[in-house]
Amino acid sequence: MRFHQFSPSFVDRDMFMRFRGGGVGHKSTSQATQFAYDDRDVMDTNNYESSDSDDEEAGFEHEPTDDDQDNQSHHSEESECDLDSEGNANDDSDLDTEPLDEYGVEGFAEF
Amino acid sequence: MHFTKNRIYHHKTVRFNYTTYDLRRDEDSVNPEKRADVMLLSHEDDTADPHPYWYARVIGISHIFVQIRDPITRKFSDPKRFDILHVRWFGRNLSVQSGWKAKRLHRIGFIPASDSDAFGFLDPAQVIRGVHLIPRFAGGRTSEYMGPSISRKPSEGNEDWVNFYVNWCVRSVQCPL
Repeated sequence: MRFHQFSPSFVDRDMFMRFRGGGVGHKSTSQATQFAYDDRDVMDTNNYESSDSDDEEAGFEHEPTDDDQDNQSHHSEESECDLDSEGNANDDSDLDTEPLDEYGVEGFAEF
Repeated sequence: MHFTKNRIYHHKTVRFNYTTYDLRRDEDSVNPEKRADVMLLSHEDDTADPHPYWYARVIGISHIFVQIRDPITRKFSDPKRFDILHVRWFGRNLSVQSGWKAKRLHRIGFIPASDSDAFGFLDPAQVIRGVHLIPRFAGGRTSEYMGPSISRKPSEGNEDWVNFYVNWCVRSVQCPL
């Protein structure tokens, strides 16, 4: 909150979204903020890929090459940690057949 | 080409209107005395380490009326108004990682005055909005970038901060930094 004393108006949610990308009001610069799609923490990446529909709502277009790369790293991490034997959270056909636990969350039962 | 009445009109402040992420209108007032920093879309060809924005410090605001003389009839055209920002450009510090993955604010610094791109004139329509820069206090100040100049405020003592952080993210629930 220290920064607020310096500048009450220049740092706000709008500024945050300029660097996050996907704001509806930022349509004119949405191409430029595509960079945020690649600039993600690994933890964010996993959460991000678990729901495909959200990606499109947020204004991100799917770039197949990037997704493939992400998926590969995704797979290797999971095989190392042995969290999820399926490892295909992004694949729709697998989503349908994957068993859900009592909370309705796929992949949760292994814990 | 002719500046009407041979005059350049200076202004104290300039205000930028923009659409916020949630489709509201907002306005940033920028003036060279304080809050002089703005951002605009970058125009970079290399895609190795892309960054969407360029940053600049406004050191002068003015408008002019320009007329062009027809080479045949020797008549001046109607005056056309141009709004001008005189800016000092920031360059991005590429020696450090920044952004979401690195969990660091983006770091920028003034371009040395010896570089031909250190200063420039800018159409205010290019500016997206004002931006808040935090001096990187640990990096200290330097007079290396530029000698004594009227483009600095007297209070700056002929020195610049070596680096600034682009403050796009205030520590909060949603901010990862």
